[in-house]
Amino acid sequence: MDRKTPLLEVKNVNKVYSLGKVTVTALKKIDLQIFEQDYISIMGPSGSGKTTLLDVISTLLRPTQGDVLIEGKSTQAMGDEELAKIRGKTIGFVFQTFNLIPTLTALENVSLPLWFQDIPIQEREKIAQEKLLQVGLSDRMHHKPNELSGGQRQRVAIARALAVNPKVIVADEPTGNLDSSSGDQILKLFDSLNQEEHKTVIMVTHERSVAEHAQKIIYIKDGLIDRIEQHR
Amino acid sequence: MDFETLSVAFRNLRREGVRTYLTLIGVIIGIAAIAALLSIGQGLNFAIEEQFQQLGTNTIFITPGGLSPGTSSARSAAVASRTSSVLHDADLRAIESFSEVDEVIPLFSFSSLVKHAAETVNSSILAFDPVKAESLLATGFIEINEGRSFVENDVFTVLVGKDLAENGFLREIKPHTSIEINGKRFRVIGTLKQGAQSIGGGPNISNTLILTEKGFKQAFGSSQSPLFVMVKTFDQDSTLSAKEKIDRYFERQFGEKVFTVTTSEQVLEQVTQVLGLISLFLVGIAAISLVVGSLGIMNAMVTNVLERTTEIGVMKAIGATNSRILSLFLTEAALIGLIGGIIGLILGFSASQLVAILGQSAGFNLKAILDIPTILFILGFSMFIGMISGYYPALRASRMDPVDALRRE
Ligand SMILES: Nc1ncnc2c1ncn2[C@@H]1O[C@H](COP(=O)(O)OP(=O)(O)OP(=O)(O)O)[C@@H](O)[C@H]1O
Ligand SMILES: [Mg+2]
Repeated sequence: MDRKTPLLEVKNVNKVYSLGKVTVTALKKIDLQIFEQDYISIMGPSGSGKTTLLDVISTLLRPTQGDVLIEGKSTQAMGDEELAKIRGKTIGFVFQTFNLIPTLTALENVSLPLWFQDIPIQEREKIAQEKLLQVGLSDRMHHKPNELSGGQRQRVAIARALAVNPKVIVADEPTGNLDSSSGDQILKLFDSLNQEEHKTVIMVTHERSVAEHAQKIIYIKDGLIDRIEQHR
Repeated sequence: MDFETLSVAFRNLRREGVRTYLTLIGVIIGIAAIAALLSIGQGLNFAIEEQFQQLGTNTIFITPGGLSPGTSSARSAAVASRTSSVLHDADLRAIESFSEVDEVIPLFSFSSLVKHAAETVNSSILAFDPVKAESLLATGFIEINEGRSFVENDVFTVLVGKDLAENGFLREIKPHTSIEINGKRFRVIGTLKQGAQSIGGGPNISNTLILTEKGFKQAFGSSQSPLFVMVKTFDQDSTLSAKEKIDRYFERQFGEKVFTVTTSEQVLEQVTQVLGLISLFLVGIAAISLVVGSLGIMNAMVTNVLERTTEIGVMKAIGATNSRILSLFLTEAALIGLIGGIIGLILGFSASQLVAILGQSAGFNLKAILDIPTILFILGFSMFIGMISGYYPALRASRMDPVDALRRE
């Protein structure tokens, strides 16, 4: 693939939530191109549409108007099942509240996306072990989420996001529920993923110090891109 | 359904804890009821068919009054109507002379004072011709424990039921001793095994003395009317015409219907009909409890899905397809059904075993039977119930929008 084709492309997207008669326009005419190895932060006031934008970029949420392209392919006409498979392969998700499956061990949580991709079990275990080693949790593989600290849980979540070897890691306030030192650990992990493994990282945050880890900060306000700041 | 789906579903059920157990109870009750009914029903059918097979389909029963053998009140009815409708030897000889009739076998029942080792006790007595009643003996209702059975010309010989032999008198009755029945001496040739049942509403064999017809007439005179009479025809085809002839004979002799004449096929039909009606009623009750059980599964699954909304959203976000979510929740519901089915099957079969054992000790030849196809059917059925009840909640889970699911607090 040539460098010119964006990994993810948001084309003229509107997102309107309708609650009965009231409608909320959360995104207005958004255009955005994200390339491989980009490191992007999204900032803005509460309710400005950060989460909505991230959900649209990561194809979890279908826009009301416009299109989102994954590696040049339109997702507009794609069926839910097909989109789920492609999303599962291309994008790894990290959530503010970790969202691990409580009945499964760390290793099983990390294996889960591989299971959804129908990868055979021995291979799954091997990959999951590698990823847990990568996030520094090889000694916590058989622990359940409730036996782990918040920072450890988020690292398991990152290992889970990495399991399918996606090109993009998407994170909505990944440090929002963590103390500053656990938060720093997570951000260091993101930095190294971006610099050493050339992963594209997109994260939403409302802390400037967190946002500054990225090369590019997108400010949004009232559903519009307000400005884009380049760093480093 | 792969092993991992199963394992994940199983762990989810364990996590739901009390809800799962309560739901299981509903399923268990329904399946236990069905398993119990089927096993008792199969056992009854088996026992009845076996008996009738041994009795043969060329048998006609003649009973006093408007009742047929096999009904529980037959005996009291027989006693009550004995005075008004007495069958004499002449009647039996007349019936025997019909061209279709091979043999006429009267069974006599009476109760009398019996003296053993200076002790006198009132005991019930059953009597028949051992040669003629061979097919009756083949049904296994009399089994020798000690000593021997009757031979052709036995007269003053007696077989003693187990209970009566052991507990009827202070001193146990053993073979080769003698007892006095209605003032006549009889030699005890054998004692019987336990587990025998009564026949044709007659006395409980275990508490009875059994005489030959000849011995019975020696002790009580030859004008006794039988409890019931079995008529053997030469073949099955002539059974019906023989029955009609006997009916007409009684009409001529007595003018009214003081005897019931039934072919063994009719009896089998009646018994099967009653059995079918009872089991239909019971299956109805079982079905209702299963419906309640299945509503329980549905309710539990709806709650599970609601509770795990975020989890469903996460799984969808990390690549789970709708069908994957559907199969996870369907497996969970099927597993409730299957586990409930297994436990219900065990409990239901144990319950019917208990009933069978109680029945046996009361003298009924009752068995609880569950064959492999029935077991597989019950387990398959309980899984099916689980999946049917779980389908709607699972479908709802699978169609959940991941973003909505993740935003839910
Ligand atoms: N499911 C929904 N239905 C209706 N309105 C919604 C829905 N989700 C979001 N909104 C509205 O869309 C707007 C953008 O919401 P969004 O969650 O994207 O904001 P945000 O920038 O992530 O805020 P925060 O920093 O508080 O997380 C808000 O006004 C919100 O009320
Ligand atoms: Mg948000």
